[in-house]
Amino acid sequence: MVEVELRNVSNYALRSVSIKFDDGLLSVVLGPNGAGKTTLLKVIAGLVGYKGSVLFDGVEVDHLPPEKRNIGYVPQTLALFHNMTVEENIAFGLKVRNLPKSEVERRVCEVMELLEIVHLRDRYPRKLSVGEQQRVAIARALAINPKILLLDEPFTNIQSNLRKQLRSEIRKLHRKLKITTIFVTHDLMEAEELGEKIAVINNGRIVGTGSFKQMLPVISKYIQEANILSGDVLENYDFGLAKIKCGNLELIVPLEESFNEEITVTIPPERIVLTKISPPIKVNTFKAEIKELSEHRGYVRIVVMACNQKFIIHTAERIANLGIGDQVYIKIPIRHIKVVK
Amino acid sequence: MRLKFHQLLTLLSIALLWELVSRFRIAPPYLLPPPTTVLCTLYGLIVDGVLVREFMRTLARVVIGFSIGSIAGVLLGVAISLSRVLRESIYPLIAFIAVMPTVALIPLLIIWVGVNEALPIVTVFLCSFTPVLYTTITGIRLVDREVIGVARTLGASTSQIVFRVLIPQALPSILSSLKVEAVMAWKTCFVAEMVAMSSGLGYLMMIAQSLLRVDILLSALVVLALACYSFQQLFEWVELRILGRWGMESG
Repeated sequence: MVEVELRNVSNYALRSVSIKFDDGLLSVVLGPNGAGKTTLLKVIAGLVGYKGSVLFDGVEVDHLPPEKRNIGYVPQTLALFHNMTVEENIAFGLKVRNLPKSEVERRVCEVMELLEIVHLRDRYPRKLSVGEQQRVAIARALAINPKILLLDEPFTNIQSNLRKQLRSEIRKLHRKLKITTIFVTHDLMEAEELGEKIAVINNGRIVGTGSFKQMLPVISKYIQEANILSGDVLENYDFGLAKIKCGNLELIVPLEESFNEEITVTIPPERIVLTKISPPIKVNTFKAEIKELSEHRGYVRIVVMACNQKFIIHTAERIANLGIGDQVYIKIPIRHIKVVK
Repeated sequence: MRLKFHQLLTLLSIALLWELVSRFRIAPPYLLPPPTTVLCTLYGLIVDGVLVREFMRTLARVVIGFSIGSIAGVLLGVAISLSRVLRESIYPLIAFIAVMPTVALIPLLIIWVGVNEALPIVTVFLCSFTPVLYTTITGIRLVDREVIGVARTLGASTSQIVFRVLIPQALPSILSSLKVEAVMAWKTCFVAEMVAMSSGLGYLMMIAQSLLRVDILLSALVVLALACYSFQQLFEWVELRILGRWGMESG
């Protein structure tokens, strides 16, 4: 397979991007909308112009047109050919390369079996479910035996339970094929579940690369503000909960398997409840002091300190008579705490 | 098309009323000949070959002008769509010309083309060319741009992308415009023949008018209506068949 490297790539959406995607790995590029994710893929595919260079296995490919780069590209819209059956869609890339008929037939059957869509063979894309369309688009990209697979937010229009299934299918497929895959998304969960290596992109720049856990502070800064806490497990309870200690703070977190090392959890700022009087339930409730207060479009951002830990809270509306230095209570609902492995 | 009983009943009642109005001389028969007379005239015109000959002339003009016009419209539309600069610069002009009634050009065309066989063909050509060109560009504009990108990564050449991907995907728009323009082509050809030609159904009507033969006029109108209707149905059939199979909606 192929290692993909970008050196100082700039164009209308990217600013001096240098990054390496390892050979045979499933890498995720995570970034908000308009960060330049799609453009990054298009640069690799050779579909848009750029300055700088793209290297496959150390060899510059800048002069190569898209068809010579040997790439499988699945755009966000899937871009299936609606005038062709599933089989014709998959065969398209092979037929335009003038491969012999028997070879086309063999290869099409192979990918259809791989993606389990043999039964859809004679159907037209518009008459398929979104999940099936997804598979056809991936099959079409894989049919030409690409060295690199580029997936641009392929799960955008799919409901969440099906997404989960498709994610695991992508992982399975990748394990089987070991093809260098670059998966672009704005969805944190997708990034966490899929990426062996994650690159965070913002405003046309790569702002960090590493594992999901390593990227948490970067993600919190650029993509979605989050409270990130790390602590040792003090106690495992049998009903899927555990107590962890982060500094002076003891927090009950959901933990399915018993675990005795340090773990990291994230808490979305909009899920922390802030009250002025002490709430009746004391689990995960802490006394806190307000340190910062600022209004943003659509929410109020409050920074509090509780047991020497900083928490960011987003509330929809301003709470009356609340100022910096006030004593409040914060409650962290267990179901909104996410454990990062 | 199959007529239901009440539809048939309505048609027959209107024909009967018309027949009675003429037969009882409520309206003078030379102004409104009864439907039976019109049918007899129509039959007579078909049998002695006049109607068939003139119809074939008109049909040939419509088919030639319309085919060249629509094929040229689609091809040029694709060519213009491929270049963004070209498309943006020429699109407003085409949009402007496309809405202009072609019959208004006939006096000008008589001067430029002359009164000959080419006149109705050129008129029909213009009447189908600009609208089809316009809808082709619009149709291609609606096609997902990513389709081109994917086709390129798969190794397709520009002509393969155009003929196997772009045109088929723009077909909903193209077909719906062809359906409208096919009918328009007949109307335009009729007018051209009425104004300038000495053959064709339009000419036949002008002769009938000068002889005050309302029965011939009505017969020719029936033929025109049938021709327009069958052309429209033909394209509707194509549209339903292709788009229905692909699961697309007509544009």
